[in-house]
Amino acid sequence: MSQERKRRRLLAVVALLIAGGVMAYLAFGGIGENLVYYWSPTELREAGPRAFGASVRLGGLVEPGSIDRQADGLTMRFAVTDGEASVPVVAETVPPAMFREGIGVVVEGTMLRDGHFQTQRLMVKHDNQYRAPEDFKPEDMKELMKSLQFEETGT
Amino acid sequence: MPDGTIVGGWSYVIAAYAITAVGLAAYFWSLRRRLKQIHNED
Amino acid sequence: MTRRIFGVRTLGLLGLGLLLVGSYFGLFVAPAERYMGQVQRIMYVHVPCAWIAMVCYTAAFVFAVIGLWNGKPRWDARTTGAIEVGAVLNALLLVQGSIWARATWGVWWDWDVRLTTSLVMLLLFAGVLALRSFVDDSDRRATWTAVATIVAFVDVPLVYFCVRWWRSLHQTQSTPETVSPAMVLPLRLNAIAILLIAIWLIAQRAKLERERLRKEQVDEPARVTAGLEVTDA
Repeated sequence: MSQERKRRRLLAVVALLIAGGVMAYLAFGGIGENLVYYWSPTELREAGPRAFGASVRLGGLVEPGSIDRQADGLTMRFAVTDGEASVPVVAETVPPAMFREGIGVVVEGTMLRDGHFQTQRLMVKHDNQYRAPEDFKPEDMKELMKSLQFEETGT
Repeated sequence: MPDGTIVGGWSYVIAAYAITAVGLAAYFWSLRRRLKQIHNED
Repeated sequence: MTRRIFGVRTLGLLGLGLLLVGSYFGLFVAPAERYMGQVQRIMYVHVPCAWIAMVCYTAAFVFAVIGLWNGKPRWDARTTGAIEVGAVLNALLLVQGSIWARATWGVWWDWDVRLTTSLVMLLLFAGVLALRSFVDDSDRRATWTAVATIVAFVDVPLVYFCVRWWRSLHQTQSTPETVSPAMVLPLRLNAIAILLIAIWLIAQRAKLERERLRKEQVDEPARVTAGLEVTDA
């Protein structure tokens, strides 16, 4: 029985070590660089020709004043910006009601050679703020970028 | 908002709350049934 | 024994009552969110389910370590209870999240890091329960359940921190500063409510597991090992 007890306790220690090791690796191992959920407009521009043809996600803010809904009711043009670079997007999809100027979006699609990003999957990324209609607070782009975590580059 | 947008309203809220209530009730019911079953086998 | 169960049941009933009060505040008293509108009210069940599911899994982890250390079957029963209740909340969380996502993000699902790790969390702990059901010997079952629980737990802090470490579609944690004060109350009420309900359900599930173990040992007395306590408490 004491043999059995020892074996169990050894198992406890080994399991805890494995769990702790995996956690530490995930936290400090820097796998963030390989885990890029979306590219920012700047990164997409920097990628240049490598961005063409591949299916990628582009994330940023909808540039104020850039939304242009086509008459057919299905196509929509707008620009995604990160404050530095801006990428024009052609979206053939139904956006959620949250879609508006200055909101965060992640679009999935491909960069075309004419410089447009074409997408059929548009996702609105909102921040962690939940406000009642009356507690109005003016928004500035810098703050928005921060609250949406579009600025961090992966730790 | 005009047509051509996904509008979320009360129906989504009701669906989420209903699923939560049904889920919790179903789990509670399954626990009761399993406890009863094991008592009956004695 | 009757008194003890009654005590936990009181807790559970209190939780149910609180859930009704909290949801009333969430559905009818709290304001609609300025951009999201009514659909933001899903938060008052979604966020508490997420918190308490993670509390359940954390409890399961602690119970597993204790059980592996001292070998007492009651900790195996508690581990099982905490995992099962955690998994129920985890499943509800994914469904609520999907409904909320469709209305605000525009999609039912995406392989974003928060969503993926949350789904993986459910699959891992469902896997622990499945593994458990394949082991006939109660000592081995307890040992392997505990080891698997400790390993599966790795994903739980990941679910919490992933939105801070990596880019995601899901927003980062809100704080009382980023949530309107009128929305904080129903959120807290429902979190306490679901915690109480979870404790109640875990106690019931653990009781069921102890009864099963007792029956197993009555059916096969040869398997009863010296030092194995069968307690009703």
